[in-house]
Amino acid sequence: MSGIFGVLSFFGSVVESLFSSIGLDGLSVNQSTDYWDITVPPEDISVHGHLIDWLFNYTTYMNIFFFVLVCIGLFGFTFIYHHKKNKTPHFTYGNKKAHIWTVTIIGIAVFIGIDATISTISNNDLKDVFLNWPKDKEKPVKIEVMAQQWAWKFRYAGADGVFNTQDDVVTTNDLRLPINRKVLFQITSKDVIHSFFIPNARRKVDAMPGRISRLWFELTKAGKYPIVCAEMCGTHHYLMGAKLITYTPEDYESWLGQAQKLAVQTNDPEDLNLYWGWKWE
Amino acid sequence: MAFYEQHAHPAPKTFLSKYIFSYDHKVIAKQFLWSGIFFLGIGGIMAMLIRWTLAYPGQSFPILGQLLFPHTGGVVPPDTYAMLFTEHGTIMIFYAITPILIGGFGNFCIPLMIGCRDMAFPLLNMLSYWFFFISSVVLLSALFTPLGAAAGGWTSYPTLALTFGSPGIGQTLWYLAIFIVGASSILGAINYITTVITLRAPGMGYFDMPLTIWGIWMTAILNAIFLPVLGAGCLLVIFDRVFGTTFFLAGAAATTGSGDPILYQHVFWIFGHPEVYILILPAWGVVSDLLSFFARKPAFAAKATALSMVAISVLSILVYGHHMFTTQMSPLLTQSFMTLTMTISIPSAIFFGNWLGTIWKGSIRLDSPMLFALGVVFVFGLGGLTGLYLGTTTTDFYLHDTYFVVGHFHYTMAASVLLGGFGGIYFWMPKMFGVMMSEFWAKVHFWISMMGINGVFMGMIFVGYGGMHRRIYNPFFYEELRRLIPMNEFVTVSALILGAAQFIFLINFIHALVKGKPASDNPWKVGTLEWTIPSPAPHYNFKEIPVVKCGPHELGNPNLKDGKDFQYQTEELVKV
Amino acid sequence: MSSAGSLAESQIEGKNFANSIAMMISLISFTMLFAVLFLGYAVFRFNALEWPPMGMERVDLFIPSMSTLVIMLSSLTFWGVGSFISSAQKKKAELMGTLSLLLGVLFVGTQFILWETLRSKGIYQGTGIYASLIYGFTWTHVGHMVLAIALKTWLILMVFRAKEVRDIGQNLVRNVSMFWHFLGIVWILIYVVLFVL
Repeated sequence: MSGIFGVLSFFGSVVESLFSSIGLDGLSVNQSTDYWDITVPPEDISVHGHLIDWLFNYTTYMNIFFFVLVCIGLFGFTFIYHHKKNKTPHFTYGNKKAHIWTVTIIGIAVFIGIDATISTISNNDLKDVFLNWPKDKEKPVKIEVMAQQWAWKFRYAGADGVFNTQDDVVTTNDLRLPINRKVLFQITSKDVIHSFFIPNARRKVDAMPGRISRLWFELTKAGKYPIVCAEMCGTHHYLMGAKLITYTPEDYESWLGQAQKLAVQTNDPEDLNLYWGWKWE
Repeated sequence: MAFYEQHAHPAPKTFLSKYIFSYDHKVIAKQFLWSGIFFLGIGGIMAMLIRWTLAYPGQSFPILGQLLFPHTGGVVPPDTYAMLFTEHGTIMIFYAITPILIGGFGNFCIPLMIGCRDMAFPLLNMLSYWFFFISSVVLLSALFTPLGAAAGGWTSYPTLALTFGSPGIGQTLWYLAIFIVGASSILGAINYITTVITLRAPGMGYFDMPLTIWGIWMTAILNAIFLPVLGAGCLLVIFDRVFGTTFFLAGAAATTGSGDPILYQHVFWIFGHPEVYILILPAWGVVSDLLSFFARKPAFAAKATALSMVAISVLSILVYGHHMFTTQMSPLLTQSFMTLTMTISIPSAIFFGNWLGTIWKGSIRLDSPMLFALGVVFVFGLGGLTGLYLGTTTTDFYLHDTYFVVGHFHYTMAASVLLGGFGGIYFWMPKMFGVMMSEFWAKVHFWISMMGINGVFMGMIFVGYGGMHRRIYNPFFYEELRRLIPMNEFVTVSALILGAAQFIFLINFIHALVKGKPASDNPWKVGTLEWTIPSPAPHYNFKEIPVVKCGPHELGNPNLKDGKDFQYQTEELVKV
Repeated sequence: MSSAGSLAESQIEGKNFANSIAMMISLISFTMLFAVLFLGYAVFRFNALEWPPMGMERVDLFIPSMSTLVIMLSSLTFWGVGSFISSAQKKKAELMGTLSLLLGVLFVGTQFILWETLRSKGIYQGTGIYASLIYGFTWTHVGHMVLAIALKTWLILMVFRAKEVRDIGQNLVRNVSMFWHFLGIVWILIYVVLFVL
């Protein structure tokens, strides 16, 4: 009996999912889910995320262009030169000058249009932005991140400005940042390889045991956003999410003040687990 | 040219020597084929379990669920889920594609297409299969250990794959199984390389070989060079797990001394990137040949295609770092790997030139092998283009370890290779088994599979771009991923359709074996050497070793007489 | 069809060529395996602040040097086997062969002594990366030596059983000795890189 219901409900869900994935699921226009959402990444809340989005879109337009050409060739030739329409094939080995020139020119067009362009743009973005670490005089917010099975621990230096001291603000799965200010992370892992991924900022970097990796960005919008782990780290890898809350600079200062006061009151200097941090490198 | 002529062995008499411990490359090819299809089924069922869990978390998997997971009421538990995606990847790569394309087609096609009686080392060939068999027993046995099989992803990165991250013997058995299957492939590679060099029929220069053989030959060369790298990596992790060395140990568990887990990633991907070319090269070769055969004209720029296979093999080692952009290697290394990755798209573009140029102005017959070959051009186009985003470091920062990567590699590795493999099976069925498969059902199989393939993997591309990261048990845990639920469902439904379509192939296959129409010697009317002998191929292959006088794609020559539109490789080339 | 005699000759020549190619490919495969070990060593050594790391003492050179001597002698005597086979001196070939085989087994013995000595000094495989490298390299090398000794035993038995020692193909001897000398060269590299430098 349950088998039949299983089969029926399966077919039901086939039809339902096919319709709902194209927007026909009975939700009214005013309801929250805009099904075009599935074709765009989550909202970009970072200053430089648009560089990645722009490059993605450029690559997509070029890819569509060349893939359409391939499809015209593929479907077009299959149709036009079907043996019922074209009884006699054109006998050639494809080694004449004209053939070689055609393929070479198309190849060069593809290489310059896509490959060379995107790698140059990406290279410049790496040099000028993503690997262009904020200098001390820019006063970035500095945060140490410890990934472990299966949680994210964040450490702020506290009023004394030194990491791994008693007044550090240490949180679990709870990252608070100001907008309009550069943030610099140093990240490591306690046990296995994890990956610190903030989709809304378009950035990730692996958290590796025995190494410190770095990340920086600047955010633009206040709100609540997900942080996820993007490297298989064990059974509960899927549960290893954290929350990013971004504040306006004033709200951030007031939160930080409160958090530092709380840290001084509640941090237990005898608790060795408090001192997982390291001297800022 | 052949350096020597092999004797025709007397026909084996006993059941054991005919079907189990056979020296005959055709029997060994079939053994690999059966094993590969069996594991394709197992890997496919695992994929269904994974997709079900992703689309309908908390719901019991129909029928099989109650059998496999009675204690959770049929729902896949999280630790089993990790095992499933690990074993799915491992099985599909090493136990399905490798035996079908490399073990199966390699063994069957090489001696027949180059005009000799068997591989250079028949005993080594048989050993290669039995090493594979032993390896599969080791792999499957891990599923029955108390703590289960490996569960750290098919890439099995330390430190998760070390003892503290993966306790139990399952992970060690995984490394052992991979080591043995690597040895099996290396033995096969030695055989293939030597056979192609020393046993080509008189008159067959390297560029007179069909492109299928070029693909398999380059695959064998890559296998011989890079599988030992994986072997060394496996050996070192086994040392870490079993004997307590500290090659890859780091972090809090490194109490007696620290190693470098990222070294494993380097070693793994030095093997791993050539491996993806190992998997695709045979399919590329088969597709290039099939397009020529069914467009009834020579392969366009065949020599350039063969040379670009060589180029891609050489370049494959230089690009491996694009799998590791997020491990923050030095900026110089990062930028170099990106640039080199861009250059490797050039030989791939030459393949498209070859494929499109071959069907251009052809006289195309849409038999089932041709449909599959055309399908490969389509899916590999998509797969290759999605790779561009991943080879570019900055876009990779967002896309790495999301479903975008999963969609990309399935388009290139799974879709292209399987479509190419099916095309090859339908094509060589008459020579292997002496029967034809039903053309109608082959075409049904093709169209439904194509729809399923594109539904699944294009869906994954979208889901990944939307931000869904991979290897997670329950995506709905994240509020921000809930908008991707309908697309995930769509992917799962497409996957179920794709899986169901493979039964059409199975039934067609078995029906043909049991009741199929006997095939003529050359049903496809093409000129490569295997079609000059009866169907199915007799155990000695060639009564007399053929003498080759022209290339493998001599089709459509307007000066041919007697209503023929092709020449056998043993005929004098008719001038145009 | 050519006469049976020259067919057989070209058969043997062709098979010899095939066997040589197979041995070359095997050597390339084995080289890649050991190359990865050397790559690991390079990464660890050049990233370490001091070598040996963690203030460990260097391994005393006596036993590794003995191992090197033994394996070089075994290669030398094996080369002798080859030349005595081609000059049809069966007794001398048997003597050299047995000697070479014994030296090979003795080499494996010196490795066991090395491991025992390390353990008595408290240097186990888990005692950091320096020890891991020494054990890892020597275990892998000994594993291949066992294979090589098996091959050599098979060849020497052939020498003993052969009526006419010249019947044993030059090619077979050359292929087996290629493998043996290859492992000797790998050992010398291990000795220099891991123990001396």
